[in-house]
This record gives sequence, C-alpha cells and structure tokens, in this order.
Amino acid sequence: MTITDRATLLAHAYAIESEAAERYEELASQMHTSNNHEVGDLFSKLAEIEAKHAAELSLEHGAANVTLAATDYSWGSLESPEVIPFGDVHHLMSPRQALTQALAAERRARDFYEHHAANIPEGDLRTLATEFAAEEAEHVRMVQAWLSRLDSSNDEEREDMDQPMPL
Amino acid sequence: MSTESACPLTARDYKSELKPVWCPGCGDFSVLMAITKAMADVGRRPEEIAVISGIGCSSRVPAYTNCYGFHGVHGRALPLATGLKLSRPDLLVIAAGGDGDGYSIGGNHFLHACRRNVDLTYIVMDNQVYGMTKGQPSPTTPPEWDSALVPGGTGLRPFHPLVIALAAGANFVARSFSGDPANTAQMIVEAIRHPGFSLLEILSPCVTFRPEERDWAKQVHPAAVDETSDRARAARRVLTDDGFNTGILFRGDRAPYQPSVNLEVVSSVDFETEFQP
Ligand SMILES: Cc1ncc(C[n+]2csc(CCOP(=O)(O)OP(=O)(O)O)c2C)c(N)n1
Ligand code: SF4
Repeated sequence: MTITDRATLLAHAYAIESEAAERYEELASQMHTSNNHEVGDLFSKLAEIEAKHAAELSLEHGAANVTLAATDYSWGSLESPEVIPFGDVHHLMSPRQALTQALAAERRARDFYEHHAANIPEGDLRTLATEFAAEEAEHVRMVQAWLSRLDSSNDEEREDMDQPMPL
Repeated sequence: MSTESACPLTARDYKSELKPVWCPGCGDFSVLMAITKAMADVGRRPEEIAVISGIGCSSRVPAYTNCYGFHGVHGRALPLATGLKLSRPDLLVIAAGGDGDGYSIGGNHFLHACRRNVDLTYIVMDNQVYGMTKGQPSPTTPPEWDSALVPGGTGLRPFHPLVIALAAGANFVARSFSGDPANTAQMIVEAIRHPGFSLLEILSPCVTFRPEERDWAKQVHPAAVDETSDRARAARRVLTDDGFNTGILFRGDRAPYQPSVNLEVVSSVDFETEFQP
C-alpha cells in the first residue's frame, strides 16, 4: 500500500507511537510483576519516550484525531512495527536482551517510514514521512547508545528462583 | 479511507481493565489479543458473547475480556459452556483453557462435547504442561520430557487431541500458534462462524516451565495440504504430521445439536427453593 495523503500518514504515525507506548507499559508492568525490576524500569522509560512522541504528533499535527479502520493500516499483521511482540520477551530476560528487542522495534519503525517516504512523490507529504524516519533513526541511535553503555553484568539472563525443587 | 466512526468495534472494545498476570513471554498474551481481534471481526457486541473457562493460567482469559464470563471449576469449561449455549442459543459461547484442564481432568467432557456438537468454539492453549501448578506433565507432554518433577520423563504416549476430536465428532478442527496472532485471530473467526463444535488447538508456549518451547516459533509451519471435509482423511493426516502443522484441518457438515423444545425459564429464586431443607 502506498500512503497518498497526510491524514493516512498521520494516522499511521500516531498508531505506531501510541501502540508502542502502550505495549512498553504492558511489558513494564509484566516485568515488575515478575520481579524483573531492571527490565521493567527500562520498558517504563521507553514507554514514556513513545508516549511523549505520540503527544507531540498530536500537538503539532493533530494526529490523535485521525484513525483508520483496523484493516486500513498498511502493516500486514495485527501489530504495528514499533511494538515488541509479546512472545519476544520473557521474565528472566537481561537488560541487554530487552534493549536488543527495543532496538529491533525502533529499526522496524524507521524502516517503515523510509519505505513509505521512498514511495511518495516529492512534496510536503514526502518531507513529513522523511522527518518521521529521521526521528526514528534518532531513537535507534539512542537505544544503541544505551546498549553500548551496558557492562557485562547486564548480559546474563536472571536465575529462575521459582522452579520446582528436584525430587 | 474509513474513520473510526465507520468501524464500530475494535479489539480494544473487548478487553477488560484487568491486567493479565501471566509470566512475560507466555503465549497466552498473544492468544488473548487474537481472541479480542476475532471478536471484533465477528462483530458481536461484548454483551452478546460469553467466555467460559475452567482453571489454569490459560483459563484466566474470561477475566481479561469484558464479555460475560465464567471462570468455572477445573476441567468443567465444556459442560458449563454447553449448558449455557443450550439455554441461551442467542449468545456466542466460547470456551477456553489449557491442555490440563481440557484433556486431563476435563477429558471426558471433551469427548462428549465433540459428540454432542453443540454450537461452541473451544480454544485450547496447549503448552504441554500444567503451568499454573508449576510444571507437572499434562496429557500432551512428550514422553521424554525430563524435569525435576518427572525425572527421566513420563514415558507415556501423549494424548492426540485433534484425532480424538475428529473421532468423537467435532465439526471443525484446526491448529494454530500463539506467535502468529493474525492467523490465529482468523482461525478463531472461522471456528466461530462454523456451526457446531469447533476445536482450535493453539500451541502457546509456557516460557517458565517449558522454556524450550520458545523455539516453537522456528518449528511451526503452515500445513502443506488444504482443509478437508473427509473426517477419515483428516484423521490420517494429523496422525502422521509432526505436531507443528498449522491451519484448518477439517470442516464438517454435521448439524449442531440444539433441542427444539422451549426450555422453561426458571427464576433463580425458584431454583434455590428446591435446595431448601
Ligand atoms: C479439582 C482440581 N484439581 C486440581 C486442581 C489444581 N490445578 C489447577 S490448574 C491445574 C492444571 C492447569 O494446567 P492447564 O489446564 O494445562 O493450564 P495452564 O496453567 O498450563 O494454562 C491443576 C491441576 C484444581 N484447581 N482443581
Ligand atoms: S506458568 Fe507458564 S502458562 Fe502460566 S503464565 Fe507462566 S508462562 Fe504462562
């Protein structure tokens, strides 16, 4: 599908950011429930960043007011590209594993906008899609920087203290 | 472009305020997402749907939807759902639960639900283990699965739900994978729309007690053959498959069981008087 108008682009952008924020919040809450607070805090931080991004889209472009029918979004799956699938996390995951998932999610969002920008003819709409791609590229760099600051103590999966006792 | 007002129901409309307490990574999150998406696609309003379950992690599903729900007794989702559908045929009734709930303690009810062929959709989140009670083997656990609770494995031949459902008379039989929520949602829609008893077996990893099931994503694959309406053929296919084929296997044409007699409506007060000393 090619995006041909501003309202459709804004609806996609708002869905990407708000669904990412919502998923990060869900994952943060799951991690805290499972006592993995380090990863829970990381996901909370990412949720805040995505929610801020969604709010900016809304404030600057009125994006929250344009929504499409579920079948009209151009991703061929149930989930928008910046969402980490539920099955790709687990309760013992390390901060490095969590940020690696976040990096993949940011890259999917950047690629989404780049793909669409490349297919939109020169003009305001293309400029806007390119701007969104640049913002996601910035997020990619941010997560890469976070990853590079992690020391090796953040690499290990946590030990499961709650397994059945051997007989 | 259509706007939200032209699109009355979305998956969100079927989610309750409760946050699931499943372990992060549990396949049941994606199944829940697929169920709510399927409900939106089917287009029945939440108050026209009832989700009935037994006990287990997966059986918590009714609480996470805002449809009518009943979190029943372990293994008893199907008799509850059957009774409800027979007395309220206007409702869309979905039973949901795990392999322990459905095939172990509820095994007998499973056979007879298939045989009766009441118009129900039964969603089994099969993780081949009892998740809620910390990792005991279930009827679908492979014989060699070695764990602290079953050193050396059970050595027992696993139950084969799809073949048993076919032999017992289920009218729709399919398998999907939680890691593919879009196709799972589509299969739930098909299961709901097909009249009679529909079994959808969803491979849904228990990342806590069967962490190796995280690899299922690499093992599942769409079935290489199309669905059939030939029961014997479907049974032969599924008996020899690797357990990771996904897709609709069988769509039958048995007429659903729905008694034509008008059930007399008894108020709960009348009913309670029967139990007074
Ligand atoms: C009558 C009765 N027997 C046993 C139990 C204990 N029990 C609770 S859940 C469960 C098994 C759950 O396994 P499954 O249905 O596969 O669901 P999962 O937790 O894996 O999703 C058992 C044995 C019970 N609650 N009631
Ligand atoms: S114990 Fe297993 S089935 Fe239960 S919530 Fe955790 S991962 Fe899911």
